[in-house]
Amino acid sequence: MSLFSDFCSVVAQQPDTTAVVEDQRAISFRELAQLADKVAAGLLHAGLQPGDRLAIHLGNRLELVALYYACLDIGAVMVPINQRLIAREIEHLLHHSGARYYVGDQETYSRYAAVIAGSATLERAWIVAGEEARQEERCLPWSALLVAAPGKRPPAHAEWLAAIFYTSGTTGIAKGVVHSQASLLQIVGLMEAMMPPRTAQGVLGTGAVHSMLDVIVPWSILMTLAAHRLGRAVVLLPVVTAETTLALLQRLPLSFLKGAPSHFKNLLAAGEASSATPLPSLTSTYSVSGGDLCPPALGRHWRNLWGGALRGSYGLTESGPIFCQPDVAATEQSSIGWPLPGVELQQTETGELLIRSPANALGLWNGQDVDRLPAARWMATGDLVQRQDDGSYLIIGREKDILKCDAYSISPVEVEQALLKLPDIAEAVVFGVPDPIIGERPVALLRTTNGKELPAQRLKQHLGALIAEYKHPRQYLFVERIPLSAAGKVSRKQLANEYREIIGAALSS
Amino acid sequence: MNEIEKTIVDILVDDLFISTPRADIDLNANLRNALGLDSLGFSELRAQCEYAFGVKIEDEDFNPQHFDSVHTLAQLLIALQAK
Repeated sequence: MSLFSDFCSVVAQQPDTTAVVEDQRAISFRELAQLADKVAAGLLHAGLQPGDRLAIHLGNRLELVALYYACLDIGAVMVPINQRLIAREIEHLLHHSGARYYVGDQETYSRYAAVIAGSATLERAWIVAGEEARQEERCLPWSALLVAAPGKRPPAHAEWLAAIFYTSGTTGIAKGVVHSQASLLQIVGLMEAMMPPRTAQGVLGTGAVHSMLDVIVPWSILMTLAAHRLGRAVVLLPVVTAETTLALLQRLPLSFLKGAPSHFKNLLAAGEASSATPLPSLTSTYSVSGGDLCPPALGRHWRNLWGGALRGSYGLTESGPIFCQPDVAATEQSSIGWPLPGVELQQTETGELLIRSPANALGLWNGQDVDRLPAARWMATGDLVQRQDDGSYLIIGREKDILKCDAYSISPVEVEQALLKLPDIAEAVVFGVPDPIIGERPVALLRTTNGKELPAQRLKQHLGALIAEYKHPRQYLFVERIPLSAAGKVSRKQLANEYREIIGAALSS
Repeated sequence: MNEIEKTIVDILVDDLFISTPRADIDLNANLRNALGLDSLGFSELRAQCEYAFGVKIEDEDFNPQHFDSVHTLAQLLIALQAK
């Protein structure tokens, strides 16, 4: 059993049902399989061997989904590159993953052509919707990938590497989480458990699934693969906003809607502001919030407007979704609900949650190969939890420093290191302040060498060349001295707690 | 082994194709560690039990405590049938 063979079974069982809806275009499982087949043949023709990395740098479009299956078919390792990353970050991922191949679209390519051209490992790049683009030896239009005659597939292996998902590390350097085909299948199995369940008679709710996160984000990839295993269609919107999602809800019944708490909050506001009556009912849609803690109040507002529960999921890139909260409005404090079967838990003395998932990732990418980690390892979540009598878990704090902003993880260390590259900055500490809309707002506390403030525009320009915009601090506070904790250390947690006093003491804010 | 436990074992062996022979299944053994059930297997077991026993297993009950062993799952199903 593999994700690809499961996909082929679904294609055989329901070839003519819709697999992907891309805005106004819909294609069937058969058509998707045919496209994936052509892509796989093209990649093999270009010399791809199992284990070779393929960097994927695409917006929400059909070709992205076909690429997932082509990779699974021939043992290519997908390296998704988020479109929000900037040149320097893309360069790092290409270099670190040692990608031999690249698929981008016209938009990404026109912005980052120099990065692609400058890569020492890339042998070939294909550009979607870039037909007028150059016909060089190394960089070809997408159509050139689809013309190869079907080639012989290498025999599939469950231990083939399947994906490297880069995620914010605590050290400030993105770490590459490696999944094998076998662990990816397990993680997709957990994602399936978050969806309206399969019954012995068949699948409940055949409505399509949609993610308000970009489709290239690992959670959306898992959602896409899980939905197809259940025979459901996946909707891709070229531009995902609360308004385009609302318009989608009005034209298509969904069985599953995924997003970060901020997405659900914005969708709620768009629904309230909408003049369309009646609003579509979401009583039979699983609306699943993930990526960050979902406040219970949001769940209550959600139910009032849409008539259905807002659900919560909790997990790590290394483990997959491992907790399910069927109704985030059911508790006063934020609760992550119940662990899924097969998930094992422990708590440290400080209350930090340690988990052992049936879908533990294979290991971390070291630049050349996988540093394999024991399959039965315990993983620290960085979250402080409290078990309730009914077996569910409340989150009572966060142990580690990673910020959650719009469901994106931001490493404060990475932002600090970027700030310190500016010679005028002597000290920098970045911490998160709770924010009602985006979860946490990154705030930078700065001490400059000459004691003078730096204009925000200058900082923005400086950071713009180093890190993606979503990582930029939303506020800069200039101080004469960075406050230390009783232990003489910089404590981001303490700074966050003392935020109001710090604003008062800052040179200005 | 009671009837419910026997039915669960039937599902594990006949529908989920676990590798442990029927005679070797310990009713108190952990479904994941001892019987090798994976994340897909748990969802399948849930669906098959709902069908076989005519009950609905809510998300709150689809957890490691109830799905620890054949025995704990049987206890859950008895409680659900009594509802």
